[in-house]
Amino acid sequence: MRRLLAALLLLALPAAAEAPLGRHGADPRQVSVSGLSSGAFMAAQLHIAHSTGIMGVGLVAGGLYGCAVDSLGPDGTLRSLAALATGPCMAVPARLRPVAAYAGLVRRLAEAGRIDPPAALAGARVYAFTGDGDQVVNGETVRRAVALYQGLGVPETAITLRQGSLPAGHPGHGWITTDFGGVCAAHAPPFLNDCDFDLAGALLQALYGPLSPPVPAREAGLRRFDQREFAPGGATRRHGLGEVGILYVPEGCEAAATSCRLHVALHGCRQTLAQIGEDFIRHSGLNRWAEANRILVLYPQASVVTTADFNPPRLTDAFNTNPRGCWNWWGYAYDSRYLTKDGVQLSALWAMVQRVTGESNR
Amino acid sequence: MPGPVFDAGAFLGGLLRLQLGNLNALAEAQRSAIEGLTALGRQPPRLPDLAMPISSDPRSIVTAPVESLKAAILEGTAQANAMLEITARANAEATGILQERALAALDEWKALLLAATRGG
Repeated sequence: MRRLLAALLLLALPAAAEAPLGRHGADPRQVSVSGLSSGAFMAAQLHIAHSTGIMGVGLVAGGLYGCAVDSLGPDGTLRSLAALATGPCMAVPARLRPVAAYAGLVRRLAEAGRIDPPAALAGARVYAFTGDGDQVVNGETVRRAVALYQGLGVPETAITLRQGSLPAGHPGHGWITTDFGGVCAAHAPPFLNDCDFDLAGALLQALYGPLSPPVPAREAGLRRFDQREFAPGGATRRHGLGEVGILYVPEGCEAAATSCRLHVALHGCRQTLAQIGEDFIRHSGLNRWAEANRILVLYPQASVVTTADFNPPRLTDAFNTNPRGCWNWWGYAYDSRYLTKDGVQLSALWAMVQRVTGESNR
Repeated sequence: MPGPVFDAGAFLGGLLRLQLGNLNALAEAQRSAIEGLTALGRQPPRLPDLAMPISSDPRSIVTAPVESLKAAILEGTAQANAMLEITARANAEATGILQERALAALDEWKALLLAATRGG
């Protein structure tokens, strides 16, 4: 009888969860973020919203802040459109707005206290990459993202824009690697393109300055963590967040590692753990540089959102889905605050950063 | 023992509140529709640029009109998509408000009838 009760009790318990994200005491002045495609747009959102707490950003094939915004109402409501994301922001650069319009949006949100003052960007470092074979996100969007940073006060000397072709070919849409993934011109999963180019190294050195040469990453450095505590009510999927994220911990950065830096790496659409496994996490090249240079690398995860995730169902659900597991850069999942510190995903990412740096009590 | 009494005043009061709720929902749905129309009105009326670049390169003379036409089609499609999304969202929002109110009104009506049955 006792055994039966114990068995029933075990069945009633939820499935074993991953460990909570660790507190590592990383240097809060050395936090940077990068991302591919939707991850680049989210990287810019996180950076511009928290510019006093993030020192640099890497934008790969995306990243123009506020690109999908149709209007900011007098009551502060942001109205964004998926059609602007897929149209002007990705494929039809002729319909992008002038840089001043995006800068104006940043200033209005900052004046309302919804993002950090853009003055903090004066000390930021920016790296941007767009391949001339990219048929998913037009290079002009990346160039305009760079121009926006210039317009917001980032000195030209602090910006690196790498565009065009590489000796190995015309890069398509993906994170560029030295030796892993599809062909250089690919536009397909895992969105890791083998172009014989060390994007991870170029990006990290543009943000942090000259680094020690990369060394092999350690298997023991990969730590899965539970993302549910960072979603409202623990409902990750409803908000486009995955249940599990991964933190790469280099040797010497276990705890109270004040001399360690933190880099947040955001995957692109169709590139989550559920969609391509650990390919992006293991083969972006970031961990090798991280191991050699005491950089913690945080790999948060987004998730697919379908109409089945909304309850009770509403007629507007179809406009709030995220079928490809992208980061939220057009206001899906009913999050009209997605560009600001109050945005669900942005709050979650910032809480993760604060956990790893030990800046928060949570 | 006196039987239950039908309280006509309470019933009518409840009915009035229900109707008021309906009218409020109608006003909110109209506001949502007007917001959608306003957003549509804000869309830049710019027509796609069909200008042909002047060039002495024979290849360019041949390909430029084709590229220009392709760009114009894509630009027009992007504009149409944005307008369609604004319209569809506004419709869904307005209809959603009315649907939500209709469901709530049915619940309120059910509660009124139950109260009246208990009372009368």
